[in-house]
Amino acid sequence: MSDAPEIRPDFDLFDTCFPFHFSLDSEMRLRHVGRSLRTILPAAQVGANVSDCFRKHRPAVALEFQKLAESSDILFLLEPTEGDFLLRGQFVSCNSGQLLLFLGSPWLTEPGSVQRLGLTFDSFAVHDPVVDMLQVIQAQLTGLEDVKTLASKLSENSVQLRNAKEAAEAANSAKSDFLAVMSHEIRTPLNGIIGFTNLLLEADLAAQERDFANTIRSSSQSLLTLINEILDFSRIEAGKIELESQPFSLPQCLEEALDVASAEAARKRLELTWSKAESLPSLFEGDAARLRQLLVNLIGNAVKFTAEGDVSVTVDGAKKGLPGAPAPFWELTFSVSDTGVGIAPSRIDHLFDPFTQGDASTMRRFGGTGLGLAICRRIVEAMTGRIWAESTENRGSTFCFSIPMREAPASHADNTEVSPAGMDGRLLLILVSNGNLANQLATSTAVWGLDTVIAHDLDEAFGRTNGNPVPDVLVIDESLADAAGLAFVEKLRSEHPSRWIRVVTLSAPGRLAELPPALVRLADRHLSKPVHRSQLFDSLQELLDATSPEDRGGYPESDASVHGTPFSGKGLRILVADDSRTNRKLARLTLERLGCQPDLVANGAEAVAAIKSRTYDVLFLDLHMPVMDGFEAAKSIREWESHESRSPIHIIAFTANAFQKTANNCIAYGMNDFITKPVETRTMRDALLRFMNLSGSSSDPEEPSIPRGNPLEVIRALAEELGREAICELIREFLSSIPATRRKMEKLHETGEQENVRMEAHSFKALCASYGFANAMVQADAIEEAGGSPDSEQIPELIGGMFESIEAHRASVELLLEELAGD
Amino acid sequence: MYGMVNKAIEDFVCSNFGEESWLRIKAEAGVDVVAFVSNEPYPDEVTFKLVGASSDVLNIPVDKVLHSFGEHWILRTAREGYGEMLDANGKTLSEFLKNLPNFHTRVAMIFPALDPPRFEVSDEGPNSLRLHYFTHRAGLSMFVAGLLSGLGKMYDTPAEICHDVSRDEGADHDEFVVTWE
Repeated sequence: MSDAPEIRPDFDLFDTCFPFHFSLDSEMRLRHVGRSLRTILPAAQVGANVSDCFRKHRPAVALEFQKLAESSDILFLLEPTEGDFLLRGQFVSCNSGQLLLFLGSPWLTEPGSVQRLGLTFDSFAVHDPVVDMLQVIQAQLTGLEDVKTLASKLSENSVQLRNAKEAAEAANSAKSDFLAVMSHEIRTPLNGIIGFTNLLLEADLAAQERDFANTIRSSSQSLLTLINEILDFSRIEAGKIELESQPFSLPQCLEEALDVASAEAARKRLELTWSKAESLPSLFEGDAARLRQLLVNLIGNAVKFTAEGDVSVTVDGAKKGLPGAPAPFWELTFSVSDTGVGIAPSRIDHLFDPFTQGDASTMRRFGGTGLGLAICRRIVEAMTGRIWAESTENRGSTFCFSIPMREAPASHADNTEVSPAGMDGRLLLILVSNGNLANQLATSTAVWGLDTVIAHDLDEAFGRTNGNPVPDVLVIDESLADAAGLAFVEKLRSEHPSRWIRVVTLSAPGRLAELPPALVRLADRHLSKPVHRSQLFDSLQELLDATSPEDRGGYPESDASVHGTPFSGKGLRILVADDSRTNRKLARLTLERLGCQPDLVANGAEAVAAIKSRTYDVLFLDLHMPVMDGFEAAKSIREWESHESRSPIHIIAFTANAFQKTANNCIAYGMNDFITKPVETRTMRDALLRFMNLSGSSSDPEEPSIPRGNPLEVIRALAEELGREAICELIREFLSSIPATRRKMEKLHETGEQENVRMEAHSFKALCASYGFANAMVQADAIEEAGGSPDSEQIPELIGGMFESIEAHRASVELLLEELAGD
Repeated sequence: MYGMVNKAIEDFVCSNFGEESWLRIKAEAGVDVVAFVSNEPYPDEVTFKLVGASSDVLNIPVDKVLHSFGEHWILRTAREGYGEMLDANGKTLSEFLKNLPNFHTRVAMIFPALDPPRFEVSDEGPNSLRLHYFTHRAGLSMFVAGLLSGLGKMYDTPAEICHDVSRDEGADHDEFVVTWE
């Protein structure tokens, strides 16, 4: 027994602690009823039978005194005869078994049920957790409502955000469309300005007038570049960038990108070089045109912002694919470094934002739209890569971008990827002061199996040759090709009279004339920088395979083609593709005058077929032709060459559109060069000179260009240049075709065939340009532009104007033809 | 502080000054919460920022703002979510006030992260009592005064609230003498 006193609470206190209790005597009559139970169950009166108060119960224990007395460990649920609630609790025996006590309280799960039963919290014992549970339930329900409200608001916000996003995108798209339309509308008159300025510059002008006209042309071309960049940017912004995936040669892509900047770099005497990590393959699959666009932009910037030194492009990479996978991915990192003005650290982060340059004065000083780098960023991002810049002010900048790219299968490799038998073990001495250029050359030649030695100056060159094996080939760069360089070459050859030491000179475009003439005479080959790997390969292979000059009667004396003697294209295999019969004839006459015997075809499909059946060196390719246009033809030819591992033919685009965008497109489609109609002996000759790696320069002062402002002068000059009979025949054909051509164009317009109107106008424009009908040419250009726009209502008027402007000259031209025929 | 307090502020502002004002207050306070959830805990700082911003934006003194929040809480916010619970806490103002200590103990059980205030009742008379308010949060005594005033209105019992002892004057807790008719 415990010493603790017995628990005997008085009834009031007991009732406070158990306000829903009741007690039963052995006859199952109520003897006590708690205060709160009386409130919710009025039937529960002292003396009432328990079965009159509760109609059901759980568990199914018989409502007998003894049975209930033995069930003190069982939880009971009692359902009263009145009221909508359950009483939960237990029966316990007390007073020595004379009474049964029920202890419990209502089981409530709805917060409102307390009030519904006419109770308050005071109706419950303080220790009773039912009240607390109700509050928990209430809190949870309120929380749930709040979460629903939150979800509804978030959903509403999400709809608003989506609507706002769609509205912003629509506005952006409208802006891009507006920019595109505006750019197009601005370009049309601008092309007229540029075209007429070009015509003006071919006329006989005073020095100051020429200066003014040159300023108009350069300003107009800057404006055209700006508009083209805006157009390109707006297209990219509008999500209209589609990436292709075709096998391509990384070195070729780098070389082509460097080519674009080579003229400006040469003018500023900057060295342009590239190199790639030895571990990298050369062939990848991707969008070579877009990659080239990136590189052209970054290289162009580097050249623009560099006054002296060099611009180098390096490519490094890490393989990301699984070992042994057929075509692993590489993470390629391209870096374009310059030794230019550099960029302030505070500006670096904003360089790739649209319309942003290094600083506000940059645009004034160097020009440009500030869109180039923004375009680069969009392209790199579209390629799932990233772009960044590092720079030190007044030391230079490096622009880098890294992109994933899949390695192309080896079946696409060209011949510069292998080591030919004739080169293996032959000794090459590279005499180049610029380390990057020397490494670029040596990296290639090492792949071909040549033992390559580099000398950065003449002392080193003497050291490399004195008492050492005699080189088979000496490559000498313009940087060391001065009188001392010449002396070195002469000494080397005189010391080894029995050996043919092949000499290859290098110079930037247009600077061959700066080399010592004697060095040019004794050189076996000359290559323009940036040196293309394929050109170096072909030159070395030919030289190493060739018979020595001694056997051919001595070393070459000079390169006649460069120093003013007439050009000869004899031996060149040339194909001309143009849909205009007149243009084909003109091209043939011109090329014959240059010593060539070209083959002629009328469209791109015929050109592709001809190239597959015969070997050509050069293709002059018109861009706008029926059946297959020039772009498609160039693409097919390049694909076929790649597939068949053929050496690429030199493709020269040939069009009436003298716009940079067209030129860029030509390069993007794999063409090598670009000349504009009208066909001129000078431009065709220069294009062939560029192909032959000679000077692609400019006009020969002894050979005046054909005036383009007046058809009489033009026709007279053409007749003198290409032969009177042939030219008279062509002009008569042209004049007699005018009525039919006019009817055809008018009919096409009436039947709504605007694209065909455009094509006709394009072809006709070239003819007008060829014969000096300048006004007609400009109107043909306007028809070509209007043909693709909603303003085609003005076309009949333009067609009428175009032909009438030719008719205005008909009488005088016919008189001239009679004169020419009669002489 | 649990979301129910911030919700009360939102509800008060939206009901009396419109949703635009509430958005301005949230922006002014730097509070970027789309909607408060009653039984989620939020940093006390959020509540204090909202009170301060409400005062600035609505051009009402902070004490008045707090008092208005308190009244609004009893008469609108709590009625919507907890009306039955409030009613069950007492049939008269007197009963309700006497049950406040138990009520807040229960609140502490239900919202363990709330750290709610503690109330004690003394000097009980037929028409008055003294309410002792203990809290670790400073500056909310006018909110309590607003709650008491709201309770008087809820029970349709005109009541006078006298802030008899204040922590602002150096006491360790606040005391309110509530007198009703």
